[in-house]
Amino acid sequence: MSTRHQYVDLLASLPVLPVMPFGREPLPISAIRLEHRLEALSAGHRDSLQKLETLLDWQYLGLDVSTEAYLQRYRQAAPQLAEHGVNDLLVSMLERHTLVTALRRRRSGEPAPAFGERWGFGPRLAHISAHWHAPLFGVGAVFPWLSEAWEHLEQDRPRELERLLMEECGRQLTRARQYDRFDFREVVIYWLRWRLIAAWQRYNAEAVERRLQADIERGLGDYGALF
Amino acid sequence: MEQLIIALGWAGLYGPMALGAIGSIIGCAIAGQAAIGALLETESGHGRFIGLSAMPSSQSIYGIVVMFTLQRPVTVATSPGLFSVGILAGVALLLSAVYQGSCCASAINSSKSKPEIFGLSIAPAAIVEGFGVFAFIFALVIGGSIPAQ
Repeated sequence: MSTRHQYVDLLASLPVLPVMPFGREPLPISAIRLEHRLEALSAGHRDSLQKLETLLDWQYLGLDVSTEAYLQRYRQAAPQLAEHGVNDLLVSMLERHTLVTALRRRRSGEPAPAFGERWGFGPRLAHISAHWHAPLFGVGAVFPWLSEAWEHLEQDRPRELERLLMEECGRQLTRARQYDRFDFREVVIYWLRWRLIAAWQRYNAEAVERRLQADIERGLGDYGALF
Repeated sequence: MEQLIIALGWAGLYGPMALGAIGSIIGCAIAGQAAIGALLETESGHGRFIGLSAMPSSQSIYGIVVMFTLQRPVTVATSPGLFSVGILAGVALLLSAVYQGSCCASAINSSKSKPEIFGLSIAPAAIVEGFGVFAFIFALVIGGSIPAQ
């Protein structure tokens, strides 16, 4: 069987995900079931997926991982990810993170990164540094979502900013799909889209929990001190 | 040289059958795997997924018919015609079966969550089948012009 149809049974066994991650319906497949289905991947592809998770999931990143250490980690994984045809998916995600980092740094009044400083990722680092004070770093035409992201940041709307970034990520993954292919790249796109929806739903669950807690405290008033 | 020509004639005679069968094997395997995957995610409509996955098997039948139509003594006079018609018809049947399997897999994958598009989703597979039928029919027509001896 050609690589084009390598995972036709696996992909056909996965339920369809919503196009955009912001609906209220529950995830069509649980993390445990998805994990179980992904056991059908070959050892090499499972390893690539693990590497992607290590590079994308906060539980492997933490706050103490420096940009240099992260880039080192990426450079080690990149050849394998490129060989399996999924490196470009990661690159576009990391470039988006870099642009948001640049927006945040500029907003907090930080100067342009020094020449040679490892502060982000992607082929446009030098360009962004050189155009630090230009509107949208001179790359607004390449990344049309950047102006809206800047507005949200300026207006202090973190929830809208997060939603915009997720929307953009979802759009990019949908664009990357090829409906006549059933290969590892399509599995990875599915997995990334699933993560996106799961992340949004987790945010929602956390927000509901916070609101409920606040309502309980308000309802209890002074009696809250008794408990 | 004569023996080579005779060998090619035999290849052309058996070619449509063999190549059609190879195409059906690959096409049915691709569509069949998609059908098996879809069984895990659906509660009903299993029969039609399995039925659809058998669609690329028709190219084997076309290959058999072409083979019997071309069947005649393999001589230096008949071999070039047998080889040309048989191999080209076989390649056309092989490719149509493989790509039909791919179309069927996509149809199964799409219609598992949206059963109402099932009928429409098999249209591309039927169109691919149509080109296989063209190759089959005209192989029969042109095969009649090959000398009998």
